[in-house]
Amino acid sequence: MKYVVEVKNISKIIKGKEVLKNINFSIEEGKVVGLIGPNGSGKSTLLKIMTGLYKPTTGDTFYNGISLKENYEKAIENVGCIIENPTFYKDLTGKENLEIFKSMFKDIDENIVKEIVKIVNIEKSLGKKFKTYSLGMKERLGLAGALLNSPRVLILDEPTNGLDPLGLKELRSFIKGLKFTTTIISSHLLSEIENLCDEVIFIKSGEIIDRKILKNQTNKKYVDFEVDDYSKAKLLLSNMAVGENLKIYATDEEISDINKELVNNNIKVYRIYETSNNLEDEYFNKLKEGNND
Amino acid sequence: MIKLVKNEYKKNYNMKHNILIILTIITITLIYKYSQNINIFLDTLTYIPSFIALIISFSASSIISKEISEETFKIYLTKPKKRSEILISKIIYLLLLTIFYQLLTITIYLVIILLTKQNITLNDFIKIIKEFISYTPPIYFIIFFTTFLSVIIKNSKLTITISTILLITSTSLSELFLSITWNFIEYTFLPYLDYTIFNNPQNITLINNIYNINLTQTNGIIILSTYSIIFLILSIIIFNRKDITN
Repeated sequence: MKYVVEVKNISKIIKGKEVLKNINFSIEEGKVVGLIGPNGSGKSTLLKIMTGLYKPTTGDTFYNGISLKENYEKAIENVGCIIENPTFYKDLTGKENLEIFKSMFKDIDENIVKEIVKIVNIEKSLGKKFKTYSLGMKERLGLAGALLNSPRVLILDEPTNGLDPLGLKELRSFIKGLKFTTTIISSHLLSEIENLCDEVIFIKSGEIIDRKILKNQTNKKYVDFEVDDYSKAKLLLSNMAVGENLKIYATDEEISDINKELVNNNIKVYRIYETSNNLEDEYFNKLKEGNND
Repeated sequence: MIKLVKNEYKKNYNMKHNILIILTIITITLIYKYSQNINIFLDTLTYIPSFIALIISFSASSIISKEISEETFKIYLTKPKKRSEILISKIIYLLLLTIFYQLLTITIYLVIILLTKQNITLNDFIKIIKEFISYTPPIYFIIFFTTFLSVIIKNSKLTITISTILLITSTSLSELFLSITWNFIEYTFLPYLDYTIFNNPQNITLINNIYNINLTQTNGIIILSTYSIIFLILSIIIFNRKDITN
């Protein structure tokens, strides 16, 4: 399996506090991965380390096998990013700003820049000074700046912050259109993460507490069983039940078998219905689990 | 590197500073016109480098901290360029800006002399220019020193305040330290931040004799160069390890 992004043993201590604790994960080519967690969980710190803005206390990030620590220029060459709000030079125009960033890469074709500007729909505003831009325009220019080098990895920290519904829709369709780019998105909008991402990483108090596939290729689905005796049913299906109610993640065949088993054990099954794979519920469950530890 | 220096020019070029320098020189010319004394005119020229140092310290003090506080580094530093390269490009830009200001001053003086048909020979003019250049080492030092402050201090206003106070009070502070027999001060950059002290050779000889020290323009160049290199190395080391946080 080819991993485009590999984060290995990253820890970060800031002012004596360990804000990231031994973070490890890998991401395959072309995947869109969401990073979710409460405020102060370490998401932004992790993304800042992954883009070279922060230095890790231990560990390293590898892009296409190249170490960010050992060979920063080569490793970051194929990475585009927006960390928090896209902030450009306010007294320069959008075009001048893009020219500055273009000059920092080797051999970027002017036609590619024109194409990107067209894709993010900012052609008309390029001549205006950045300080006059609306939030949506800033975000678009940020995307253009992040895509100048046709990156293989795109890192977006809270890209939906302050965007209106139209901006959100545009961003969503834009990210979905990036077929061969591996994208890492951190956002508070769980519905957006659920909509955009193939996988999601839960982070809490500087640790990865879970990783979950959102759009898998199996036939498994979440279903809720409504029964007369939940305690007995859970005892029977302890290795399959998810959450407080009798929620099962299984294929159609397995659901049928479970139903048979419940009935055979004198548990009345009133209803079986498919439930959505609700990230929000799962997110709050994860937070709750963490707090109970 | 050239591209990075050009970027600094695009980002930082400040027309207000140029206008300020031009207005100062015009004011000095007017002082001369009313005093009708060529010596006053030439004396004022010696103070221009201190003024340029002040303007340069304004630019240098914000060259790192402003990019951090305005968050523009979040994009600029995530591009495939080494931090040391970015820092050096900023310093080169400031050095070029200093040279530009000096050339601007000399050009304006030449134009004034030609327009007012002064009775000054070419040799006199060359002498004036040499004297003018001899007062400039502190400006180059202030670039390295203020850039260092900008690397370690987040607040650009605080950096400006520290460098301005140091520039203005350096002579008084040096005299104060010497008066309490802290003669080691001659090995620091402090007495050399204002080269106009060398305007009056008799005065400097007297100071050297009283405190048994050896303040000379040549020693000043050696000391300021040494400290400039130290501050440059420290700036690179700290900037390379720095977490970019606003």
